[in-house]
Amino acid sequence: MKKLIFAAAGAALVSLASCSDNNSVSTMSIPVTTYSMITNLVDGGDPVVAGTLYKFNLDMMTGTATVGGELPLSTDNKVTFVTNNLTCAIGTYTFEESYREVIKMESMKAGTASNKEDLINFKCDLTQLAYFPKEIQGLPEFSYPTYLRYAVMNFNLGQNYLVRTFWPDMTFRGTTTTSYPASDGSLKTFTNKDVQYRIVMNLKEKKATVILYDVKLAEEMPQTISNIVLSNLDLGFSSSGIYVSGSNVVPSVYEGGVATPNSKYTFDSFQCDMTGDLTTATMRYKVAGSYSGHFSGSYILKVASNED
Amino acid sequence: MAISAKLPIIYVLFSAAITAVGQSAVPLQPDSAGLQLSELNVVALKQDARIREDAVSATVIGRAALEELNTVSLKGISDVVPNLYIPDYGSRITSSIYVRGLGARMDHPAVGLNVDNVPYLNKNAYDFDIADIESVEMLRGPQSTLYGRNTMGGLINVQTLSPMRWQGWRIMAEGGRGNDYRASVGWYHKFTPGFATSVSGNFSYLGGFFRNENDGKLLDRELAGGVRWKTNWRISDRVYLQNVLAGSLLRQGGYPYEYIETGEINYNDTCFYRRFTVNDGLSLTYRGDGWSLVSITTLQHIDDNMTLDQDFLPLSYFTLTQKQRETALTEDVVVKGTRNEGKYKWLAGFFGFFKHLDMNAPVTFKDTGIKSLIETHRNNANPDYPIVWDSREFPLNSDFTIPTFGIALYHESKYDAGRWHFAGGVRLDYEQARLKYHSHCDTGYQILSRQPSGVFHSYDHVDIKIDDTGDFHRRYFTWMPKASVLYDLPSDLGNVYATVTKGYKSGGFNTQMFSEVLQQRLMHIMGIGKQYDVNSVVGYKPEYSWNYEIGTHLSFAEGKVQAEMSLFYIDCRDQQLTMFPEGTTTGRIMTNAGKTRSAGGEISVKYIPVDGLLLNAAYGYTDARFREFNDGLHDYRGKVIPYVPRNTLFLQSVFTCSPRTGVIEHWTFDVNMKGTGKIYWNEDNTRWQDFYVQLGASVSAEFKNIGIQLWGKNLTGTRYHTFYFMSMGNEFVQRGKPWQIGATLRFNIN
Repeated sequence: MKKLIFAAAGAALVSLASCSDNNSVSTMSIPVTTYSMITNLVDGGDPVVAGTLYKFNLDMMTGTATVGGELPLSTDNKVTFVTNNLTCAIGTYTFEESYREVIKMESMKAGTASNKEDLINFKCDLTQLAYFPKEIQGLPEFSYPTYLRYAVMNFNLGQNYLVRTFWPDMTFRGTTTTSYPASDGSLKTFTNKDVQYRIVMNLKEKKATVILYDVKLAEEMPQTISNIVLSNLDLGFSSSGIYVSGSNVVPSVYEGGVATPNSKYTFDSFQCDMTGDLTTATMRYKVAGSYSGHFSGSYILKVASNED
Repeated sequence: MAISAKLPIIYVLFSAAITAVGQSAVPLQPDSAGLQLSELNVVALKQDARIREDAVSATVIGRAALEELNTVSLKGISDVVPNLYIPDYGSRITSSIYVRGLGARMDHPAVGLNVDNVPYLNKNAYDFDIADIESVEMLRGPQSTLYGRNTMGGLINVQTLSPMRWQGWRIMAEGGRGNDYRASVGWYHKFTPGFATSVSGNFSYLGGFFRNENDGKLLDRELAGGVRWKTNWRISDRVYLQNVLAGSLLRQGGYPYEYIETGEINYNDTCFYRRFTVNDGLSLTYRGDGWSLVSITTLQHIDDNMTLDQDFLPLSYFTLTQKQRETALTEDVVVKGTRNEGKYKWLAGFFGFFKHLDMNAPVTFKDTGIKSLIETHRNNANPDYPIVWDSREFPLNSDFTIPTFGIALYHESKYDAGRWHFAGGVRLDYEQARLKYHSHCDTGYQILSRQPSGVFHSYDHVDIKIDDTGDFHRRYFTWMPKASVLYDLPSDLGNVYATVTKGYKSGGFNTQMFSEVLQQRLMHIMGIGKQYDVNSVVGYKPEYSWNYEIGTHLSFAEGKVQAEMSLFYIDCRDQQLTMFPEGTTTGRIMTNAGKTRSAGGEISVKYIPVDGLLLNAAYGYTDARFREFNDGLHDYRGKVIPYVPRNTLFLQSVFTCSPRTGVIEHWTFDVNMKGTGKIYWNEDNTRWQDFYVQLGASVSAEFKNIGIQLWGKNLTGTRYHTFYFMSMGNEFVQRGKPWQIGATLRFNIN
């Protein structure tokens, strides 16, 4: 059960990086590292993807913040920006047996960048409500981006550019529905909310590893597979978002730190699409020629707007 | 499928009698010192000394009756007390007591046990032989207000013979079918009118009734012994002291579980139970003017080892060992007084306890278990890369430390208004428990890879090293009220009463589930299976009940007829049930069942139609069902709660005659019948034991200082089951003991 408690601004921000450089104790500066995907809405070409450092300056007295950063619009074109003072909504949510803070900022026109373009439809959540993967011996360790975990941010830079943030190691939770032929020839479906999908991106190689946790594709399946690892899938960025795909992939299962190939669960096809604000994903896959899986979920726990 | 039992011959009551009834082999000497022994009896202290004048359903069984029934332990009074069922199965560690639909097979009991004022906290120690029992009192219904935790179903109070009441030597020797031998010796001495002591010891050996087809040996062999040193000291007219130091030792086989599919008891690994207990209870009483104070301090220790062939099959799946060492300290201080010329009586008390339990519980996987439960599962998931375990046997170790602490304050007030008597009480109880666990395992396996030629080569090796620790805390605070009203009927006919009481049974930790948790952890490391969330499976919540009861105690025909009747309704929340988890798992877990209810009634009648003839009848009926219970897979709403008998029946006639001539001073003839059932064995009520009866009889001849008794139990050889369970998909039952006959010799010199 999610519960929203509005805390005093100063009490909520317990994990901040540093105090303001100026003499006021009511302001704080938070550097947030993340990755930004900058899409050129005019030419429709491949988006620019780059690590980005955003600086958040929060004023607890006024309940406002500014956000600044540098964005590469192309290999030789960078812009900088600092937003106006944005009103913050600060909340504390119960999440997985503990409390997590969320700082929300939103503005129709948040400021002007160095190239004179306006920052429009600015939305930003500094959130800790991210799903983390289970530990499996041998699998890569999960990386945490910053103190407040994630800057889920998207805005338009003028009419030409769409900026969205993401993290290259995200674990999605949601609903998996599998359909498969039953022994009598009819088509059965099985719904499972336990399966988790972790997407680990190698941005340099444009490859991704997909790890499925607690895989059970059918009611009749005698046991759950604790991890299925699909390696070396294609990673791509398009105007709609991020995609991961592959075909005829023989997965590995990590047992005691040893990766063992398992052809019994060969993925005939796998397609994952992250669109919108890049926090949600849909996936489709086919396994062993029989099991057709569909997933829909997110890597961030979304809080309904009326709970703000 | 019904597991039925045939009804035996019809029970017939017929006797001729001459002299008074109920006299024991050696009459007790009156207490010449005038010692108020009731004040050294914790139940008599907290209840009305005359239990029939209290608003409670109670049964008292005296020494003579216990000897007629050849009863030396708690299991012997099962069914004799209406709605009390203590099945005899497994070993002496399994003291499962069910009263009015409430009971427990594991961990905390639903019925409390006091022996010479020592409150036994650990149910593992409930089943032992006691020499020279003076009386057994069974109070039915929640006794939580005055006696606290784990008396939700009732309280059994056992008092042994006091050296203040009897002095001399008591020797008993007994032999029966199944190489069943018992002996006891007791020395009772009063040094001064105010100081007396007794030392008694008992020994028993049972050859066994049930044979293991695997090796041809009798399974349920047993060797046990105990000593008891009891001291009563009237220090002054106001100060009394009682100290009881008792110890026992037990070596037992046990667990004659029959596999339903084959009808055989057949398993290849060792099963045994060993136990050592020592208890000391110091009771100190001070009698003021119109008030008294009693302090009862106890120290108890139990050290036991239960080792089981956990699959109970002639296959090497796994074995379980559970070693426990528990030490507990309790203190109960009770102050009581009267005011207003005795019309107002009050009682207030403090109870505190601390117990510390260390437990080691390794589960050892063996060849068949490794192959079918681990290797096969893993190889089915990846047949191109099969595995072979490094060894054909390895342990999953779990060590626990469980300290528990509790304190309580309680009060009861009684007011007498002519024929009306009102009583109310409340107990505030706080308890905290902690579980520190260490689960560890060091094993491994080889992964092979199938080559195109079909040959398997070594692919890699997996080391499995598990070393998990955890620390859980639980805190419980509860209040337990009670209220009653009693009305004295005219002409000393008796009384009628109504009570409302809240009962409470402590929560705890599912230590037996840890082997399953560890096994799942191991499988998860191997890439198969889901890991359990330890915190969600490790604990279970307290159980609460509201008990509504009306009843009556009657006495008429100039005391020749005494009857008790009661009707009850129990509303239970979060009832704790023992379940075997789904699938190929073996650890039992305690889970909270949601809501249950229990309704029924009891009637007991004692009738002396003529001098020398006693007719005794006790019947209990319980309809206990789930109101809400869904374990996520099944909905058991409306189903009968398992292990609770629908009916208990006890019929007895005792005839005593004293011939005017000859050496024999008294003859006593006893014929009795116990009936139990229907008992459902599982939550979905697909397995059950029909109602069955057992016929017993005894003939006693008493000489000057010697008594000889010939006795028989289950004389018609009724075949019935006392227990059923399902483990790893296999069904097992335990048969009741076959017919038994024996002889007992008692020699008393006073």
